[in-house]
Amino acid sequence: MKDIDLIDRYLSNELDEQQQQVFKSRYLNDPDFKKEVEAYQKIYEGIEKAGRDSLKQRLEGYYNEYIDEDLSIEEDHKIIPINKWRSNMLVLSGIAASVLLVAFGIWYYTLKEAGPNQQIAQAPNNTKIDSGGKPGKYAGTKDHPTTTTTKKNPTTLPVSKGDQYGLTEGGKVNTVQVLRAYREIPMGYTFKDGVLSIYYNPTLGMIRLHVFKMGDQYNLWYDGEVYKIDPTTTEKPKLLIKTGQSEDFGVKTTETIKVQVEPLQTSATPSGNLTVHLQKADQAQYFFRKEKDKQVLELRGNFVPADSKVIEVKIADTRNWYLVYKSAVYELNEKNIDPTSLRELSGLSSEAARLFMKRDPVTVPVYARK
Amino acid sequence: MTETQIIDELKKGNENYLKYLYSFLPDVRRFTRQNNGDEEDAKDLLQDAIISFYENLQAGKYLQNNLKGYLLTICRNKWFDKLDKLKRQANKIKDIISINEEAEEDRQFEFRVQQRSLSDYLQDALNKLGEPCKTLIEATVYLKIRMEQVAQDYGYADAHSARQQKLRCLKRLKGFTSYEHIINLI
Repeated sequence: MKDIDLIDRYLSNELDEQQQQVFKSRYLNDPDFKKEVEAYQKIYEGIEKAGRDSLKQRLEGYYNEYIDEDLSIEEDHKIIPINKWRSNMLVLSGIAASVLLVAFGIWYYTLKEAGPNQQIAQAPNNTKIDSGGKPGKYAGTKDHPTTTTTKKNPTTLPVSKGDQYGLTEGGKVNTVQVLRAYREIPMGYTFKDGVLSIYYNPTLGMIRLHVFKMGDQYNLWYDGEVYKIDPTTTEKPKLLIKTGQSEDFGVKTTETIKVQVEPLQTSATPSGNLTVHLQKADQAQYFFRKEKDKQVLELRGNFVPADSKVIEVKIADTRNWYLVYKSAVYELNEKNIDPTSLRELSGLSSEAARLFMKRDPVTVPVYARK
Repeated sequence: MTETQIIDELKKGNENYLKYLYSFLPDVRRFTRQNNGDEEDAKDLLQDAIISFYENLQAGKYLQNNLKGYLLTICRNKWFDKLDKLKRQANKIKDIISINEEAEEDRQFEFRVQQRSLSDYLQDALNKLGEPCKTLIEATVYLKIRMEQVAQDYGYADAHSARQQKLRCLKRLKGFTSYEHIINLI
């Protein structure tokens, strides 16, 4: 047995009694071996400490998500509202609270319908659900007009006797559509046929958004800020221009309006920053490489090229790559130059995954303000 | 979301499902409130309990079927341990000689925080090591996930080749550390 193998088994408590005796006598008589064991002992201890510390940090994040999302656990068949005061409040304070909960329900529901894992979100059992539209529609059907340059024709590279990287048995090399999307703080919008679509901010919280009218003028109220909506913005998204700040968005009317929060890919444009080679393989893997100053993404897996999109997301100066396949989102790290397994991001926990989720339009009341 | 679903997802490596476990926080809060603690104590307790649970689950040592009861029991035990410790410390402080000891402990603590911890040192080394080694080492050495499972999750042919890769990664990781340095870290 090689030393590292032996030491690992010792530190993992996998040696039997006899092997332990042999190990101990060597430890006592061989100073080099002793030093090696001591170093690995510290390394293992450090890995455990570092692992626990970084899990602790991630738990802070999960705790914040719990706060934001109001999660609950069912005890297998029965739904137990965890935040009991919230359901009590519903009984006591009637309509106002119901509206809040229905809005929560809608949000949960849209997330559920759009999410890659359809069983995750669970609306509290005492809320009504109004999806306000057909569920299960994905963004791929409604892309920006400028994104139609997909090269769907498979091309065979000269090296295709087998995958030169040993990840597949070889086969057709397909190219995949590459898009670039921006996530900007000023949101964009279009207003067409009574539907207000919001762009560049796919994680927008509907709870903090209201539409109100002053005379005939529609305005958007979001988190204490007021934006004017130009009714002629029907095709190309325009940026929302802030016109003021106010806590007042008026009183509720009987008029309603549909609000559609668009995922990032809807406003994405073709990008020339990357070439993607996709080959069919049982295992979903990827890595980045350079070819004559151009970046190439080698992608393997069981993906239909036409349903795959690689999207570059720019937020300020940072650039992230994602593979969006149907409703699933995978993160691609351009630092990975060795084959790496693709990991799906969960839409409930990963903000990045939520950037690409198609949410159903939500019907909201229009408020009126003088 | 049910307990069974959460456990299944966690076993698959979807760590972010841990956030659902915070929905037991109101129960832990009720417990700390009744036992001389506050909200912050409740959050810390539950966090520690989640970590213990997650480590046990990944190492195949979680064999219960009542997650809530399990977590609340860990919280209760940890809390009473802490109260005991505080009580002992309070008794100690009454003793004048012990006060000097406390002061000595404080000085030692100061010395300790100035120095980089073993945890930070290894975190740096793991970052230098990069992927896929970093994840593989965390999964096998920290979480002690079985090699068969690791092979399946990370796409190795079998447990043996996953293990060979783990050992190669460990050797490389050791290359980023120095014996003289690491041996004195805590």
